[in-house]
Amino acid sequence: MDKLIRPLVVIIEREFARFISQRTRLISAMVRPLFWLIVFAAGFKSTLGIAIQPPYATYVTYDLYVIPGLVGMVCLFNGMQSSLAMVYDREAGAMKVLMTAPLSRRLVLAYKLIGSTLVSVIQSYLFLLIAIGFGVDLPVLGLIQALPAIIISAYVLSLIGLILASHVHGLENFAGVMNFVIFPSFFLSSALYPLWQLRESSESIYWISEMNPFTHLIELIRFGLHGEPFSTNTLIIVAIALFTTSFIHLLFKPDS
Amino acid sequence: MIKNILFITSIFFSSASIAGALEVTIISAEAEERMNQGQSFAGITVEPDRPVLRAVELALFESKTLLQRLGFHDALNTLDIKPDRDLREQLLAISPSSLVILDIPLKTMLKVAPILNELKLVSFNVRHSEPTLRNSLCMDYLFHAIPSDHMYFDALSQFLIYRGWRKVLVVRGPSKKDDARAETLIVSLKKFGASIVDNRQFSLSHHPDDRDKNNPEFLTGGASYDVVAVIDSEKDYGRYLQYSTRKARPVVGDVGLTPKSWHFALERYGAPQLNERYRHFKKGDPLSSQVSMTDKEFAAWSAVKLVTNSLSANKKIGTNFDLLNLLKNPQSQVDLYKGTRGSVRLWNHQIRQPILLATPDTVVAVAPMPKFLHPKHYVDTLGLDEPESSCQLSKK
Amino acid sequence: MPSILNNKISSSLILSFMALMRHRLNPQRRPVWLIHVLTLILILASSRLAVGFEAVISNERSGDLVFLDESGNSLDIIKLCNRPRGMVQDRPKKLLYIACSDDNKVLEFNLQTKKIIREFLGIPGAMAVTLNTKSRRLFITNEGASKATVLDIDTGNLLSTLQTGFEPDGVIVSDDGSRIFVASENAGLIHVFDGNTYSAIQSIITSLRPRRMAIRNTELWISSEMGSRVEIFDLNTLLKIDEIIFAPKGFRSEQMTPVDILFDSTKKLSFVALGAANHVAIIDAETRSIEKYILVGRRAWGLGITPDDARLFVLNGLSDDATIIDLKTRRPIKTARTGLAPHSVEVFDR
Repeated sequence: MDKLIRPLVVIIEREFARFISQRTRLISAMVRPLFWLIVFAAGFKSTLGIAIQPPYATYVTYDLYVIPGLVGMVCLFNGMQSSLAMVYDREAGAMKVLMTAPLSRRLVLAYKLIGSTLVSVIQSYLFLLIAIGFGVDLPVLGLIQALPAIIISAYVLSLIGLILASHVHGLENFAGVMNFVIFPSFFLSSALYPLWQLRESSESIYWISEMNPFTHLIELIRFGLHGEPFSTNTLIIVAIALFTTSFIHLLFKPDS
Repeated sequence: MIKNILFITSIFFSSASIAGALEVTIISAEAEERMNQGQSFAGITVEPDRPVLRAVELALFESKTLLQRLGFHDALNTLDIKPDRDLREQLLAISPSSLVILDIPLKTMLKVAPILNELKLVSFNVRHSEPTLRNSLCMDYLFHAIPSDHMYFDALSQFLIYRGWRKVLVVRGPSKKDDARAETLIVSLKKFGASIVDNRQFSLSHHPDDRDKNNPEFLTGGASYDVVAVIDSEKDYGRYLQYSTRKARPVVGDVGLTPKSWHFALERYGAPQLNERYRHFKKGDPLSSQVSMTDKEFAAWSAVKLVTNSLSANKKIGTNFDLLNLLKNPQSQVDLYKGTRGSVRLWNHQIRQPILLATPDTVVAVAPMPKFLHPKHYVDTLGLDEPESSCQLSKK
Repeated sequence: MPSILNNKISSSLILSFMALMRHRLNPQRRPVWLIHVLTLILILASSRLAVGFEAVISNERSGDLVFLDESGNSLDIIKLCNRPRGMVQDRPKKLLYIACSDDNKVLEFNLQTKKIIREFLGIPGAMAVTLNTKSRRLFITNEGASKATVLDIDTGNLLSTLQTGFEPDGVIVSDDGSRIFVASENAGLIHVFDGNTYSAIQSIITSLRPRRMAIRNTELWISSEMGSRVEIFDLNTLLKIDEIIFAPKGFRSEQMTPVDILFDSTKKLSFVALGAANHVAIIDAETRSIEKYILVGRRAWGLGITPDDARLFVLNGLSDDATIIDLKTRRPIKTARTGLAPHSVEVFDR
C-alpha cells in the first residue's frame, strides 16, 4: 500500500511545491482571467444584460456570464503548463527518476494527472473567491455545486495537455500551444459569448464552437455554478476521460 | 405681407403673471417654389411635398395647455417672400422675438439666413439636409431641425454594418446634387467599415449608347455585393432598380430601405398618438389615414416643440425670455417620440435625434444601432461630431 | 411553487414523524397506516387551501391575462379583450378592474372565479385606472381623448370627465380622496383636480413626458420618461422638493426612461422601472438615495409587489416576460414568460 501512496504524495508534493515556489506562475494564473474579468467585462457592462438561457433563470450581467469561461481558462492554462513541464521533467528531473522507478508507468502518469488536477481546482477556487471580492454576484451554494464540474474539467484539460505533450512534437514551447491549442479552444467556445450571439455573426463559427469540447466543459461548470452539478453530459465526459487515462501509459514509452 | 393666421390669447389662471408671447413665423417663397416643382414623370408624386404650416399648427396646438400654464400666449404668422421686392425690407416685418421657420428653397435660404442672423432672429432650417450648409451657414441664430445627410447616411451605414452587409454597390444619379450626396454616403459607409464595391452612375436616357448606365441588369452586374445603395435625389430612376438588380440583393438609400426622421408606421415611443393627432387635430380637414408628417414637416414640428419643451425645462427663464439663450442652454430638450429625447448640438446647432430606417410601410430599425458607442452622447454616432465639425459655435 | 411545496413536504414529514413517534410510544401499537392516510389527505387538502400570492398580468398585444405564482410558474391564461392595459385591485372584494384600450371599455373581473362580472362601456382609449376604495370611485385616463373619466364603481354611473393635456397616462388619488392627479405625457404636466367637485385646481410642470405617480405621506413622486428622472413634489403646496436622477454605471442619462413607480407597504422603499435601460432601481424613500440597480428584461415598465413585501414583479414589455425579484436578498430569482407585451401587474392573495 505504502508503495502506491508514497509516489502519489511525492508527485502531489512536487506539483504543489512548484505551484507555491513559482510565485510568478501563480500570479500570472490569477492575473490572466482577472484581466479579462475586470477590463473586458467592464467594457461590456453597458450591454443591457444577456438574455435568459439555461441554466440562468433570469437576465445576467456580462461579468457573471463570463466567470465559467474564465474558470475554464484557469484549468486550460494550468493543464497545459503542467503537462508541458512534465516533458522537461522527463528529460531531467524528478519525473525521470519516477519513470525509472519500479512502478507501473500508468500509475505514475495517473498520479501526475491527479496532482495537476488538484492544482487547477485550487487555482480555480482562488480565482472564484477573488472574483467575488471584485463584486461578481456568484451564488454561494453554486461554488460547492460546481466542484464536480471543475474537477472534471481540470482533469480532462490536464489529460489533453499530457496527450499533446507526448504526441505532438514541436509543441514543447509554450507559444505553439498558445497559438494552436489554447487560443482556438478558448475563443471558439461559449466562454466569452453565448453561442447564439456567435450564430448571429457566423453560422460556421457557431457550429465549430458547438463541437468544441471546451464549450461543453465550460457549460458543465456554468450549470454547476447555477445549481445543476450533474447531468448525462458529465457522465459521458467522465467515461471518456477515464477510458483515455487507462491508455495514456502507451504514449510515454521509456525510450521516447 | 405678414399674415396672422391664428392668435390665441388665453390667460387661464388669474394668478399667472404678465403674459409672455411665443410667436412663430413661417417664411415661404411660393414664386421661387413654382419654378422647381418636384414631380416625377407622368405626374406621379413619389414624395408628398406639403408646406410645413400644418405641422407648426399641430406643435402649437399640442403646446397650448403647457403654454397656458406658463402664462404664454402664442401667435402664428406667415411671410411669403416676393422675388421682386427688397429682401431685407420684407424680413424686417418679422417681430423681433419671433421664432422663424424657413420653408424656402436652398437658394433663397442662403440669402435669407445671413440677414436673419444680423437681425438676431432665431431661425430653423427645416428643409435642407446638405452637410455643407452646417459649415457654410455656421451662424449663431441659425438652427437645423432637419437631420443632415451625414446623420441620415450614418444611420444607414450603421444598419448595413449591423446586418453584416459590408459590400456596397453605390449607384448614383447624374445630377451634381447626387454626386455630392453619393460622396457623403461613401464617407459614412467607410467611417463604419463598409467597403465600396463600385460607384456607378445611372442615366435616364434609353439610347443604346447608354445601355450600361440604364439597364438595371448591366448597371448592377459584374460585381459582387451584399446590397445596392441608390442615390437619386429626384426619385427618377432608383425605384426601378428594386427587384431588377442582377443579383438578388436589397436596395437601400433613396429607395427601398430609407433613412427617415419620421414615419407613419412607427409603433413605439408614443408615435402612433402623434400620427393620429396630426391627421385629426384640424376639424373638418382630415388627411387619409396613411398620411403622416414628412421629414420636413417633422423638422418644423420639432423646432417649435424644442422651444416649448425647453420652456418647461427652464422654469426660471420667465416670460420675458431670450430665445437664443433658451436654445443654447444645455438643458434645452425636446420629446421627439423616438425613444430618446432630442437636444441641440451646441457646436453647429443641429438637432440631435435618432433616425428611423424604414421601407414605405415599416420601420425596420431605429438608429443609432446597438453597439455603436460614443464617449459622450450615443446619438452623436450619427452626423458630424464635435471634433469633425468645422463649425464651432460653442467656442465662439 | 417550491416554497409552497417545501412547506407542504416539511409539514407532512413532521406529521409523519410525529405519527411514527406516537406509534412507538403507544403500547398498544395501533396500525400506523391510518395516520399516514390522514396525513396524505391533509397534504391534498392543504394544496387546495395553500396560502400564497398570485400575480395577474395584462398583456397589450396578446389581449389576455396571465396568472403567475410567486415563483413565476404559469397558472392560467385567460383571453380577455383588445389591448388590456392598466389594472387596479379592489383588495377587500377580490375584484380587478382592467382597462381595455382598443375596446373602449373597463372590465370588472372576479379574481377568485376568474370571470368577468361587469363591463363599463364607452370609455374611449382607457389606459390607466385607479380606485379609491373609500369613495368607491374609479378613475380612468382616456389616452386619445385627452381626458379622464370618473365612475361610481357600485352603480357604474359616469360621474364626471376631467379635461387634460394630450396623452394622459398615470392617474392617482390622494388617500383621503380630496385630490386627483392626472399626468399628461405630451404637455409635460400633472393636472390636479378637486376630488369632490372635479374642478381643475392647478397643474404641475414636470420634466419631459411624465408617466406614473405614487404617493408617500405628503409626497407625490412622478416619473418622467424622457426627462430620465423621478421628481418629488409636496402634496399640499404642489412645489418641487427634490428629484432623483438615475445613473447606473456604464449608462448615459438619456438611456434612462423611467415609467412605473411603486412603494412597498411600509413606504420605506421605492421601486422605479427604468424602461429601455433594462433595470429596476431600488430607492431608500427616506433618504431618496438609490440603493441598487437590478438587471431585468427588455424595456421594464410595469411593477407589482406582493402584499408581504417579499417579492417584486417587473414586466418587460419587449422581451415578453416578467422578472421576479426577491426583496430580502435583492436578487432576481427568475424571469418567467408572460403574454405578448405585458403592461400591468397586480398581486393578490390566493
